[in-house]
Order: sequence, then structure tokens, then C-alpha cells
Amino acid sequence: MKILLIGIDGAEASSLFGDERLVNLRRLMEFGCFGLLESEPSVNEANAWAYLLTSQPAESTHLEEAAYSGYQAYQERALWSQVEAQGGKVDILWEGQQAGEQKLEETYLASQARFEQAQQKLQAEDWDYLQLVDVGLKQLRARASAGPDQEQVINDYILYLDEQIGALLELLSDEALVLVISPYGRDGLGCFVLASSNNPLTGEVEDVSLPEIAPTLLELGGYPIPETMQGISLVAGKAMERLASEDLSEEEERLLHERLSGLGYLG
Amino acid sequence: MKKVIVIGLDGFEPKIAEGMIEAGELPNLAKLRQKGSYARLRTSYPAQTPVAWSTFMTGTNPGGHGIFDFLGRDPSTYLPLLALTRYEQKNPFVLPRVVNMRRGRPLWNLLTEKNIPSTVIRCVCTYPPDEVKGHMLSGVGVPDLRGGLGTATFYTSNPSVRASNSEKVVQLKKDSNTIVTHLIGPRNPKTREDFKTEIRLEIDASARKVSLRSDGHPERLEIQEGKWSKWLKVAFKTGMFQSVHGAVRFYLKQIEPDFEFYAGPVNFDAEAPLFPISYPANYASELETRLGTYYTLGMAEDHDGLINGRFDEAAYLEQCAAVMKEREQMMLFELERFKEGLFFCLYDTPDRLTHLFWRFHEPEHPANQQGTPAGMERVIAEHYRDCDRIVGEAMAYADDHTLFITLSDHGMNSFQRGLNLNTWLYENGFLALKSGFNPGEEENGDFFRNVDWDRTQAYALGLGGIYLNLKGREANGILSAEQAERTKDGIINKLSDIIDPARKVKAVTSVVRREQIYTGPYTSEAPDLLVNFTEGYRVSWGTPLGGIPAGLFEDNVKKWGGDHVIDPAFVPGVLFMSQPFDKKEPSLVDLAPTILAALNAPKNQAMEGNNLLS
Repeated sequence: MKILLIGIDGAEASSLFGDERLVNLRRLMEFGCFGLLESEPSVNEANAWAYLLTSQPAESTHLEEAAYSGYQAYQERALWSQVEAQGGKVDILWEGQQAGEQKLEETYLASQARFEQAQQKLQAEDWDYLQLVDVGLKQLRARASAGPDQEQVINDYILYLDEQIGALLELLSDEALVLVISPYGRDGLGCFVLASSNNPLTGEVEDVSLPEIAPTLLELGGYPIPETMQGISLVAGKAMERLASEDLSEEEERLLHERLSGLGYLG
Repeated sequence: MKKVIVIGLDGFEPKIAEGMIEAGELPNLAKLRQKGSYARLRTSYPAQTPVAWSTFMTGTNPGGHGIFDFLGRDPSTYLPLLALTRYEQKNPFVLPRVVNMRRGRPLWNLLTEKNIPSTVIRCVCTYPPDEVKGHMLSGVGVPDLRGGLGTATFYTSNPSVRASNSEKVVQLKKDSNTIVTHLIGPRNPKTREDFKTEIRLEIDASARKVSLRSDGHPERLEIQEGKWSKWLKVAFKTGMFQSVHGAVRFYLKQIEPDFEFYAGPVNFDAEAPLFPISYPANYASELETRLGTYYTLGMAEDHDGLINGRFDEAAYLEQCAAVMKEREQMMLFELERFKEGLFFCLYDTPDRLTHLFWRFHEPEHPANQQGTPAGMERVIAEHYRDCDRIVGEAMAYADDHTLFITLSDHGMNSFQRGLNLNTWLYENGFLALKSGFNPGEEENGDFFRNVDWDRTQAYALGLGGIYLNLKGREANGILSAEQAERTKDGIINKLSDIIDPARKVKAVTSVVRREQIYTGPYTSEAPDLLVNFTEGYRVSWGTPLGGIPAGLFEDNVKKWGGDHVIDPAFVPGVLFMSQPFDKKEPSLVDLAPTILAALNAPKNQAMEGNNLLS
């Protein structure tokens, strides 16, 4: 199973889950599962990504600053290394922290370039793990020059992100799993949406912690979970199968009857 | 011409209209005929609403637009499917998309290319809507919130009531004056459970009314016994922050002795439809803002509620009147601002109403065996007068630079006897059942459940089509091309002469091959054979979905006592135009070229008809 990880740095649940305009995120939430990430005292803005991707607390990896020094710092311990070890092709579209304040237009341009790169990777179909982290939201919030329309700017950017996510989703096949995640929001809480055809979890999932995410992705993706990962997979021990075909057939008939009922000519 | 106004009256039957015009009962249509022309309009093949309107808008036979019936089939499963739309989903992560299965190029697309605006209200087979210069509101094809063509819910404290066609039944316990129950919404595809929203029914027996309280809008809705409610807007929570929005009307049948209460199908909320129902996208919402909540469901008239006995004819007529009124309001709203181009507005109600009240003109109709309520024989005529009034209102907006057209897609006829077409195929060796199964057994059900495909040459599905079990096309096809021809010959020869033993009449006028009547890129999707029934006959109720009932012929005892899915020669439509035309037998395919020519836009090569005014 291919793994697509879309990170939205600095996003919070109320923005991602609470806006009905975000039709693509809603679709993922409906198809898969979603929830908040429990806060932990040791997790902060600086180490949250490392904690997510390695399932190891920052103090054990010394990756407090690694989030912005590039992913190479924890390449061997990150979840994608398991994909590589199995011969999978890994692409990381990682944007380091930009120095200085960016103009709104620059933020959009940089983000669009990143998403276009991701689309190209997906269209080539030669990928097994693709990770894209967008930092635009965080940059916009950090703007000292933010005007009175800042809230509208943020909302518009989130809508833009949903559209970009939608464009990526169009390029996937059934054999993929998607994680949209913000490991540390402005309010200190992270949030996630996880969707795949073999994900037995549906709806809101509670009591999820950051280190559980990477093992979950690996298990759903069919990859081994290294012992160094401290979190437990959310789907450990759960059946990850579709319903038996006999059930679908009866269900299909019932649905068909219902879909065609109301047409007076049929009686 | 600067403007063309087209008022469609679905199923408007010429014999009835002509008689009423002669009697002076339809003055506006009479005036239109006097000023311009009138003729019976040759309908499509078959004479079905989605086929006919698709032919009207594209100017092609069904081989050119791909709609051959309300129903099609999936050759890989033999299952019937709704032929008007298909839902596609590239993968499980993206939203499903609705695709209009009516292909071809409708005339309003050609007008848009010439920068000529169109306003199209509720034409059949416009879901999802075409992107026009102007406005479009989708018509027949738009589903309810459950994805069907209209699933209602009947609430009752009578434990013996069972669900009938196209409905759910909710059993209630009436042990106090407050009943807490739920409104059924869409289905959760993951859990396969229904989303529901709670409703509280507070019964006031002395005032003969119920107050419905919910989280919807309005919070409190009052419904009088024997009356329809106003609209309730509801939201079904489908997730933590997700909702699906709908609109529904209720009918309070009775408070006692059994409490009986009816919820119509939950329509898409025009302000937040689940799938696009208008172009531009906010047009549906704009109409609601200006005119109030309205039926978005394609088949808005609640015929199954009447057929199932959930309310009586008077209640049905009241509901139909509401549908007509809102359509009229839409028409007038748009005509007020209509300056140029095409204006089209379709009224579906004539068709539905005539299906259901036709039997009252035939005392001998099998559906009248249980007796008939008084006064019903006047209903169709009263409705036709109302249609004439509406046409008159629209005519007031036509000036010297306007071509005014009123037409119907087909007429109406009697439906007294049904032929079990699959049973006929079985009895004549063309269809086989698995060992141990016979026609009429409950286990057979619908959907060809016990058909032995290895020994089946042909099967009937839809409203008059027969498909061959062709090798390389059907999943378990057995016929080679050569064998298929012999099978077709065999069916044509035998079925064309079939006699109803009870009435000693021929039930079928002819059986034709699709290549005899269709040309165009989609001909291969058509049934291989089309059965043309004589007046009074059509396929039985058990046939369209692949049932194989016992016996060949059966009385039609349902309230749906009139129909038009018969030999098209028996059910032409009407055509009134404000300008004279010479053609003795105009056809539906002539309308698109005529309208385009009137607006100085060229027809395209696919259009088969001619400008009636040239």
C-alpha cells in the first residue's frame, strides 16, 4: 500500500474539522478516521515532526531542532526508512523554515510549487511513500505585518489547501493510504485524518497520541514496524479486510431496489 | 427572432386536449393554435419521458444521445440500473461525481457557443446541469437524499402495517401525546446504517393537529390532520463536523384510532445540495431565496404515497398543486427578467396526474374493481384547464419578436393488462431457470436471481426492451452473432402475434430490431429488440427489474392506470406554435433545429430534423 503523508504545519482541529467548505478533507474524514492528538508535555512545536515521523520522543533522538534542519537528520529512524528497506521509492518534499517574513504571494507561490511537485510524483506513479509538508499556514500566522483581514487570509489559505489536497487525491488509486496531519497546532494540540481502504477505524478516534501514528501507517501500508518505535499501531489486532462478497451482493440488490424505487413505471 | 419561449407539458394527451379545445375549455391553447399552428407531435422510440426530452433537446434519435429507457443494464452483472445518471468515484478518497448519461449536444449548448443565453427550468435529463450561458435548474433524474427517486417514510402505531413500494415504515408506540421518533436520512456507506435525526411529535387530538419539533428549521412545525405541512429543513449529522442537508414535507393522515403520519422523500436542500442541481451552482439557492423552499427531487409528485394508500386522491392533488405552483412561480420569476434567447420550463405534473387518474375514465378498468371515489373523472380536465391558464400566463410575455411553443413529449393511453415478458421468454425457450425453479416463485424475486445464464438466449429488462445473452458482451453470454440473429427472428416472429387469451386481442403490434430504428454512436447500448404494445397493454409490473412472475398476462390493478410505454404511434404528443408551420407530422427531432433557427444559431450535423418554419 502506498503512503501519502500531507503535513499542514501549525493547523488546528477547529480549522480543519470545523469548516464545511473543506469538501476534500470532509471526504477523507467520512471515508476514514480522524481525531485530535493528545498533548504531551515534552512535545513542542520544534520536535513534534520528529516525534511523529520516528515514534520516538525527542529527548531520545535529540531531534529537537531537526524539524527545521532537514529530514536527513533522522532519515534512518523515520518511518519512510522502512519503506526504503523494502525496496520502495520514497520522496520527501520538505520545506525548511524560511528566514524572514514572507509576503502573502510568496507563501502561495512556494506552496503551489510544492503541491505541483507532489502531483508530478503521483502522476508518474513511481512512488511508494510521498511526504509533503506545507508550512504556509504557520508562516501566515507568524506575519508581524498581518492586517485586520488576517482571519480571512487564514481561512482562504485553508480553503486553498483543501483544493490542493483534493487535486492530489484525484491522482491516487485504491491501493493508497492518506494521512493529513498537523502534529502540533497553534493551540498545542495536533490533529489528523487517516484514510485507506483497509483502515478498520472509522469516524472520530479518541485518545490518539503522536507516536502511534507512524506505526499505524506502517501497519496499514504492510511494512514492518521497527522495535525502536515506541508507539503502538492504532490498528494492531484489528481486521483490515473488506466485507465478504456475499454480503456486498445482497447489499447491492437492496441498494439497487431503493435507488430505483420511486419510479412509478416500475411498480 | 429575439426570444423563444417553450412551455413543456409532460404527457399532455392530444385526444383530451383537442376535445377540450373544441369545447372551448382551453382558450389559451386555442388562441395559440389559431394564431399559429397545431399538430400532433411524433414522439420518440420508445415513448418514454427521458428518451423523448433527450430527443427534443439534442434533435437526435436515441442512438444519438444514449437514453433508451429509464432503465439500462450492466452486461457484466445483468443488473438493471438507472439509465439517466451514473455516479463515478475515481478512488475512495474523492467525492463521488454524478455523470449525466444523456450524451449528444443539447441545443442550449449550441446557443451558448453563440453567446445566446438560455434559461432552462426542470428539463428531464439535465442532472447534473449543463453549463449554459444563463441558468439551468435540473429536473427528472435528481434523486432524494437517499440516492433514489423518492423513498418516503410512513409512521404508524398500527403494528400490522408493512412497507410497500418505495417507502420505509417506522412503527410507533402511541402511549402518550408525545412520540419521539426519527426522520430517516441518507445511508452511511461504511456502517450501512441510516443517518437519522430525531423528531418529536406532540399530538393535540382536540385540535386535530400535531406539532413536530426538531433541530431543523422551523424548530416547530404544525401539521393539521388531513393536510400537508410546510417545508422542514433538516440536517443529518454524518460526522463530527459534517452534515448533509435536506428538505421534507409531511402529511398527517390521522391521529386516531391509529396514529398515521407520512414523511415524503427528503429532497436535496437547494441551498446546499449534495450534488450539483443548477448552473450556476448558486442558482438553485437563488431561487429558494426569492421564491421559498421548493421540491428539488426530479419526480416531485408523490405517486407512491397515493399508490401505497398512505394518503388519498385529494391529498395527492393537493401535493401536485404545490408542485405546479412553485413551478409557475419559477416560470414567472424568470419570464419577468427574460430579455433574449431561449426560455424553457417543463411541467411534469400533467404526466404523473394522468397516469394516476386515467382509470377514472374507464369504468371497466381492473384498477376500479374496489370502487372509485366520486368526482375523480373531472380531475384530468381540471388539470388541463390549469395547464392552459399557465400557458396563457407565459404567452403574455411573448411579443412580435418571440416564437412561442407549447409541446408535450408524448401522450397517454390506457394500461389495463400487463405482459410478463420474461415469463413469455421462458415459456418459449429463450430464457431458462436453474433446476428446481419455476416462474412465480418468491425465491426468484427480481434481478434474474435464478436465471440459468448458460441456457438463456434473451432476457427482458426495462419498459419494453429485450437483450440477447450475447457472447463477448454479456458476462455469461452464449450466443454467437449468427445464433443471435436466429434468436431475434424467433422472438420477433412469435411475440409479434401474441394474443391475450382473456381478451382475445393482439397485445403486441410489432417487435423491432434496434438497428431498424436507431442510428448514431450510442446504438450499441440500446436493447437488441423493442416491443411495441398495443393500446391497453404494456410490460407487467414484474418485468422491468428482471422478475419472472407466473402466467403471461395479468390485470393492472394499481392506481397507475394509464401509461404511454406502448407503440409510439398510439401516444403522440402535442405541438402548438405561435407561427404557422406546414409539416403534417412534425417530430420531436424537429424542435431543436426550429428553435436554433429562430435564434439565428445553426443546428449541428447530428440533428436529424428540420426547421418547421422554413
